[in-house]
Amino acid sequence: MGLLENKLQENLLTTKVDWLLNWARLSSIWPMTFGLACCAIEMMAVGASHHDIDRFGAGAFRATPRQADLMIVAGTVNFKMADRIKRLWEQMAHPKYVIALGACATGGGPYYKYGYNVVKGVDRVVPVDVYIAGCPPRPEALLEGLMKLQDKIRTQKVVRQIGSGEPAPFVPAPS
Amino acid sequence: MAKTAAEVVERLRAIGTPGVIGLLDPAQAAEPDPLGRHAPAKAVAPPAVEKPTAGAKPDAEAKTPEAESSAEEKPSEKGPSAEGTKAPAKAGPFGDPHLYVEPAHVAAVLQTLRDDAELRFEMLIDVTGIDYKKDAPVLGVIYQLLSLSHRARVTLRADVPKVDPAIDTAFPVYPAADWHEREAAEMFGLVFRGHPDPRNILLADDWVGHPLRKDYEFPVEYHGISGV
Repeated sequence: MGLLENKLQENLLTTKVDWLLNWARLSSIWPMTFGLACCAIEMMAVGASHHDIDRFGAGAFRATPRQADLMIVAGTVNFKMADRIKRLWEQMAHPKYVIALGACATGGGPYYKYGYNVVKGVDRVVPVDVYIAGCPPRPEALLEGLMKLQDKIRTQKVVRQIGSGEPAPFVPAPS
Repeated sequence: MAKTAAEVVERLRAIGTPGVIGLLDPAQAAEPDPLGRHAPAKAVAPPAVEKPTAGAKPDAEAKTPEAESSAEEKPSEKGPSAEGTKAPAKAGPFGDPHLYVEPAHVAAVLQTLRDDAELRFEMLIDVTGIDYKKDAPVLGVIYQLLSLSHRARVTLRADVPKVDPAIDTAFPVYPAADWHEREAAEMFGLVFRGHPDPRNILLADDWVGHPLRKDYEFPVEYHGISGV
């Protein structure tokens, strides 16, 4: 929203605009399918009719990063895949979010000790907004994670001061 | 119809296939035996020689999977043991023993196993490697075959020296060996001569080291991502 930058004061109108834009964004988060391993099955279960993710507006899974808002990293991340994850995340347009689904994406999972080819947490590659624990997490847990992400979006400020238009540079999590 | 490894060895020797060493001989086994699984076979050797037609099992070491094959394994085992292997090979705790083959003749043996009417092992189940211990001089190459027409399985083993772990590819005989050999090559450092596409299959193209060797050290970092 470059139009509004530095043109409006922080007043009621801006807050309503914030609220409206944030509501529009959180009600239509379009995920990018990144099912890598078993957590992908749970993500498919969430996309199916019983634990419907479409009622949150997030049912339009886009296969291309250009059209996606959310990257759900569902499964174990190999070193071989980590390069691709980084590249695809960079191809997503701002504002973009990442959910680390499951133990493997959160911190390496059961392969933490002996996995020579496993990245110990996808936050060593991309910045993560929401971590969901579980191996695999229940579909309801993924939905709760999505709702936590919606809470995060709800409190975002759309109108920004001059000079703070750039997103913060990515610093990987300390190992 | 060759059903057990011993019968397969007999048939291969009857045909005259070169390079067949025989069944597991504890004295020549390269792998360590901390639990003493190979040792009882020596105790079994004298009874098998003294009672040539006894169908009863000499002692508890004879854990053969099928009851009827134990009776026919005794007389056929006399073949290999008469030819020079020290002890008759019983089915070990994990099933039929490995059939040792010289690495130079692996392709010919596999071809015979696939094409001979009594053997007919049409299907290759797996090609993999074994690193026995850190200072073992050999790497083992394991081939597991399945005969659909005779309902039999056999495991071949070829030991290649660790300093030059090269062996001919099984791809001309079994095209399924393509991906199995790619995995064995990247995990153990085995070189399959004549392989049509010797790239890494699971690991990244610039991976350093062979992970399933005993002396493998885990990577500290890869492309800027920490590995510790």
